[in-house]
Amino acid sequence: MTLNVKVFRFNPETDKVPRFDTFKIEEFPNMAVLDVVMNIQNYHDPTLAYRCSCRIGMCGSCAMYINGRPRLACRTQVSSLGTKDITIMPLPNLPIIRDLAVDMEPFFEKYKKIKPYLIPKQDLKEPVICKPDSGERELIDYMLECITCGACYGACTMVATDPHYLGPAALTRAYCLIADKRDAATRERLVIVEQSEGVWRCHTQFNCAEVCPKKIVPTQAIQQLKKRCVFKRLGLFRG
Amino acid sequence: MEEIKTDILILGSGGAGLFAALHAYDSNPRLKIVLATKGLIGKCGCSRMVQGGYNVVLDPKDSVELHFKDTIKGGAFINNQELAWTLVNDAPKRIYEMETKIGCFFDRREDGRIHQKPFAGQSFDRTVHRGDLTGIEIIARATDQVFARDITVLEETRGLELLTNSNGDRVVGALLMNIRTGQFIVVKAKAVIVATGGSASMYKISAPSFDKTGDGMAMCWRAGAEFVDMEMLQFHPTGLLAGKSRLSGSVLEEGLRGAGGRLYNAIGERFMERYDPERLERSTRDRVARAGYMEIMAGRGTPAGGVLLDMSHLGAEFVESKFPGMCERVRDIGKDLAREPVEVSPTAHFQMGGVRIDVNCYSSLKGLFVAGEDAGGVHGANRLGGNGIADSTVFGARAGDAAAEFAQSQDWVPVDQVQVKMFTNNVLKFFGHADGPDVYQLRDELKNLMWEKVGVVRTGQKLEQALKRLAEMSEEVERAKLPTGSLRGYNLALNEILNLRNQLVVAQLVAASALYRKESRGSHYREDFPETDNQNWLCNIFMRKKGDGYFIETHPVKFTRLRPEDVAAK
Amino acid sequence: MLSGWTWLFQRITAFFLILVLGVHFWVLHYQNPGEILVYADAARRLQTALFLTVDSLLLAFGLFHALNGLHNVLEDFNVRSRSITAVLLLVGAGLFIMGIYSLWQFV
Repeated sequence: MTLNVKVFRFNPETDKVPRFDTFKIEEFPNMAVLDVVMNIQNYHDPTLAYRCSCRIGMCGSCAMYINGRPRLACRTQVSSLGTKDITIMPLPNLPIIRDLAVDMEPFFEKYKKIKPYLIPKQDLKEPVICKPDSGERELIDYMLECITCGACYGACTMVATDPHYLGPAALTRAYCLIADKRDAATRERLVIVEQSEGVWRCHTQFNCAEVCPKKIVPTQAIQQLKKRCVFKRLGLFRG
Repeated sequence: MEEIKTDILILGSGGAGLFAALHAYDSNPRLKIVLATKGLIGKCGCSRMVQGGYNVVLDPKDSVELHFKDTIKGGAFINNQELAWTLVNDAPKRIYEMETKIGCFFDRREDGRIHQKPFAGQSFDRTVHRGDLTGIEIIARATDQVFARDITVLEETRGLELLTNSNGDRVVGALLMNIRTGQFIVVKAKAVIVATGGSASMYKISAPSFDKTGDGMAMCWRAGAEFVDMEMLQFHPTGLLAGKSRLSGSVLEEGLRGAGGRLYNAIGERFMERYDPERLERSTRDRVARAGYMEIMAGRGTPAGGVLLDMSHLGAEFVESKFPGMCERVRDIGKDLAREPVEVSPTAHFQMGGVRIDVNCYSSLKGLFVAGEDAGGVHGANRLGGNGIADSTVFGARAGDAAAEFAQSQDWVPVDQVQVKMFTNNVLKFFGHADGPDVYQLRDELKNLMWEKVGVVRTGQKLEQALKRLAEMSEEVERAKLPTGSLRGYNLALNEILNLRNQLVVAQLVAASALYRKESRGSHYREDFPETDNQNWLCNIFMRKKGDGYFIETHPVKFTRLRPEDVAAK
Repeated sequence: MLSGWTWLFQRITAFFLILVLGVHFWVLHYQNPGEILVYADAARRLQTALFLTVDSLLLAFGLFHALNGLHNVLEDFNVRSRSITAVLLLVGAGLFIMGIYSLWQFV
């Protein structure tokens, strides 16, 4: 079977407008879109630029816009696309370095804004005792699977219209820390996320959840944050 | 050319690089620290890909002595015992640090304490984990902490060469290249920490991420550092087979065998009964990998060249709840790990050998610190599953501490501009190669050559053939072509050439050392010397550069804490 | 920063609007003294304290909900300035005064 692959090409330094290059690629069993991209670059056009690392969905380097949707190239099986025509473009909402490689800097700038690191409580000297069924960790545990691939960021309409909006991934990380009993800076972080470019920009469209390769629902985290922000306003927030 | 002056330069952002950065900064926040990483920070390298977990003694019923003994036994007694002892003693400190300072949260037991799961080759269930994708938690949280500190991070910036003084005995910095722009950066540093990982990616079926191509090892070699036990390269027994897909070779984690997973050959025999009747699938990686390979070679493999990993007898619900990440990955190739056997093959995974270091990660060159997979000696002839990320974090932290102390008492040493010029020319020359060997063909050839001649089962003859061809390939890669009109920035073909150049250095070290060790031990198996020869080979093999060739010698292992007879007696 | 409060009030007003809309329909369709609604009945109703209060609140909440919604949409498109907020506040205040003025004509 032959795949018709259209690949977005753009060099911001020399090109005025992007173009699409078309390649005919032989499909093989278990072929992922990353295999397609690598075959093109290795054996058809070595000048193609893209980014990948682990190839098993753990590093989050290869998020691309594949057939109209942000996806991890390594975790997208060609057979799952249901067509032999594949269009591969860079992840939306981020500046393009070249071709399929985007600059993740704006994404991480916002991620850093919410202070994504644990600021441990003074008395935290050994691993906390926390029973799995105690509910203490709320939704944190499954959300920690986030690999900061940026798919949610590329899918979010609110990020597209408002370049200052913190975006789903950063807010999810903020929630994980704010709900973490070990953290000493929850209020500080709430003040950051309750800015108008924070949680209030989310209109619960669930685009982020739909594209997340780790099946996280950032909207859930954001709603939890909204709840806490309001409680804080009402003087009811503990922690 | 951009020049940066810094106290400490760290190459690599896996477990070792990140922990080095955090520890160096925390021991003296006034030090200027530059962390250069080939991909995006925390995303490249293999610590991120750690699945199973982290071996550490936490339970009062367990002991560091027991962990040490497992490690030495697993390493077939040629570990550097002081390094192994440091590993098992520091591991609990690092886990505490991760849970209380860095922000990791590992899976808990019913009673709320950290859960430890069974792994192969261990006398106690001591592997700390987060589900079956532990590396994400460790590396993502450590990266978050780097963001909290004033550490300069250079992303998509690869190390090209270490810079040395005129005597060649002091590392004074490094030449880097910004991959995005193709521009060179000269970093003048009091201390350089190399933590870029090994080169197992040079095998046809291999587990590591694509960016990991032995760059640090090759740089250290060219700079003249001493290496140890380079023949020791581990094959993981359960690499997923997915045909031509790049998913092939990715590891299905050790915990599957720990939990009771079984291996069958194509005719339905549980073949481990023949190779290690006592421990069966829970035997050490070297044995299980070799057993699988032997079965495949004896014609008892599947048509695709694998054996079968079966979890279904444990109950689908159990498998899906304990190993969701593995099930999901296998589902990608249309198989159901919880309900049917899955084809696996040994996959090149980890290098036990590497740069010789002491317990504080000092190498044989002044100013050069090495940690993680680039360093050798901790694991001897075979690494236990779960000791890898422990190694990176333990020795990364130590390298950071040591380099910080070193940098405070040292001054910068001038960079030799002639050397810099030579190194940059050695990269720029490729832009003039309109014609020449194709780097991707060479790479594919290297992968096949290593798999066939320097693989799971080796012979003197095959190794000699490999060495001959590797030497030729090292010359060919220097003539490799770049498409005309290639850009300096984001030039993946150029980077592949540089990768291949480094892989070829490491490949030759592995093959030469493997030829030298005339016995079988741990991961190193010689068909022409199939027995373990404790009489003559309880030794480590040391190599260092000598002119264009190398100097090789052996030294007996120093049994500072445990002798082989101490274990045999019990 | 008012975002937290405005978000909360947007929800409260939304709830109130839905509730009062129901009441509004019910009153209009089922609570007429005659077969069809005539001016005199409506005017009489607007003289009771309950209706005056409910209608004033409806006016205030409706205006807040609409104008804050508009403000949100503008913010979504990264249109942010104090003057826009001020204009919306002025428009809201003006319309509110106008509405209250007309309501009081029935008292």
